[in-house]
Amino acid sequence: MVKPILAGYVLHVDGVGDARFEDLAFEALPADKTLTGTSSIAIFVSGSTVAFSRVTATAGAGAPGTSAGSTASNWCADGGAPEGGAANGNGGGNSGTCTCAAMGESSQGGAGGAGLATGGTTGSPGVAIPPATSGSTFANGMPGSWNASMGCMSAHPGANGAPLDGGAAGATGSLTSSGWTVASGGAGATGDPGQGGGGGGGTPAPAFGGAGGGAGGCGGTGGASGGGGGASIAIAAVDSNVTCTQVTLMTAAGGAGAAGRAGQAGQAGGLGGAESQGCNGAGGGSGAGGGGGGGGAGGPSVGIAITGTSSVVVDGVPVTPPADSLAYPSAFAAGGSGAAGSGGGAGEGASAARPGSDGAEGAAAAVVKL
Amino acid sequence: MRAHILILAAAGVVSTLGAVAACTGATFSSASGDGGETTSREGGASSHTSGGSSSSGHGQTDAGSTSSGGDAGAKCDPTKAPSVAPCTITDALGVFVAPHAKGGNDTPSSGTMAAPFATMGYAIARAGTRRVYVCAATYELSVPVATMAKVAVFGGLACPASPGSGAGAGGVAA
Repeated sequence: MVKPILAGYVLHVDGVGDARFEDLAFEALPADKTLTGTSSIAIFVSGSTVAFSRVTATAGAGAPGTSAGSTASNWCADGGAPEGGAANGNGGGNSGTCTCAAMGESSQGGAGGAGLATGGTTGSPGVAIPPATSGSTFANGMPGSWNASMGCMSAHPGANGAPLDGGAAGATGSLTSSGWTVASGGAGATGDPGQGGGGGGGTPAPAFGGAGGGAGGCGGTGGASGGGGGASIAIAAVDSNVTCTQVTLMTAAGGAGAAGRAGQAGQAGGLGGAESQGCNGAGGGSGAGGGGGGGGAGGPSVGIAITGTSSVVVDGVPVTPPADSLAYPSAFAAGGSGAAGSGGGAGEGASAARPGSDGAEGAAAAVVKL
Repeated sequence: MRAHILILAAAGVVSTLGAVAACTGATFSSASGDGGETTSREGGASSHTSGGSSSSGHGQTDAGSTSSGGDAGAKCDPTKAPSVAPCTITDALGVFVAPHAKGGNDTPSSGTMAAPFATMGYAIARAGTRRVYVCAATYELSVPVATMAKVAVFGGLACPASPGSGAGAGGVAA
């Protein structure tokens, strides 16, 4: 029996035109669980023609996927976004500004209008980059003004940020000449920021400035993805012809996919500035919650995994994958497939964020084309 | 000289060594595991005389062709597996591997039944067109086989009873 004390392929056949192995056993160590996402593959064949007779190949368990990491906050400040400022005499109040951690994303409330004896000016509209689109966009973030017959015409709150997608599921890993590559999920998308609230209008006689609008909150950071689980494969073949006669293949469980992390909650918008004599600014919209991270795929538990131009013949019969089992005199004893990593939850927010997708369960079969 | 050839099935592998009956004169064994219990059937006379230290014979597909492998006077087919034609287990046709504890050494002068190599990788790299015969034991090094036209590795042979016992003492072969 060949049973190395170090991890790795037990038998690695690469670029051999005619290889033949008889009456031998190859047993791979289980993957080191601390090396997440690593695999246990007993025999790896690449670009070769190989015949196995009365060979036993045993793979250990795959390692679980890498846990989803933490993600940095996308908020511009702890708590809510900055509020709009009060008027400064007859000058309009400053707007709240919120610059998100995500590159280029921000929200700004509208500045308050100036108070003038001849009539106050209208405040400025609130804005967001990218523009907030959640809900009705009519009048969202529009500024307030002063009307001689009606007094203060209210500024409008900013629109909430739009939620984006949760992370994609980890689907299927890939088998190449470099080995098995796990399938991690996708990261959730960061929510869009809310729009700033409109600035309040200035008033005449006496002239007071309008208060500034509050900034919109930043969207929550998307949840990180879960890593894919490692594989347990007795024989992996890349662009190779494999002939098996009276072989015994044994695998253990594929590594479980790691769960995606929940998205960060959206940041609340800042309050509009309050003005006892001029007109109030409006509050900013809330940022959307971050999408949940996608779950990692479970690792496969496969007797013979092939890819590319590979072919498999077992006991004289060509095998077209997938095949669940091997018939006597060959045999396949399967470990369990790796469990799928669950998708991360949606980040909380005024706009409903989307959760991450669950990863795929690992394949479990005697012969599979990956 | 009477030869004794032990062929063990790899661990967990169903032995099909009944087929070797065609080569009479050899002692065959089947085992459920490496170094496990064996049962033997001994036939008639054998003509195997190998066991020297020479490692020559690269590409001797004919080198063993006159060895009976058991059947007196029968031609030994060097393309057959040793489980079918144990007469092919000769220094001329193959290099031999046994664990270090059983006398294996990865030195260029090794590789014979009497003085086997210690690791399969070393043996494969130096076998040329010869086969690699591996005695049934546990090996702790992985086996890389890269970029060559042909390689044939046969396991399940009995290991030497002790270092240096080699031929004639239930060694790797003969």
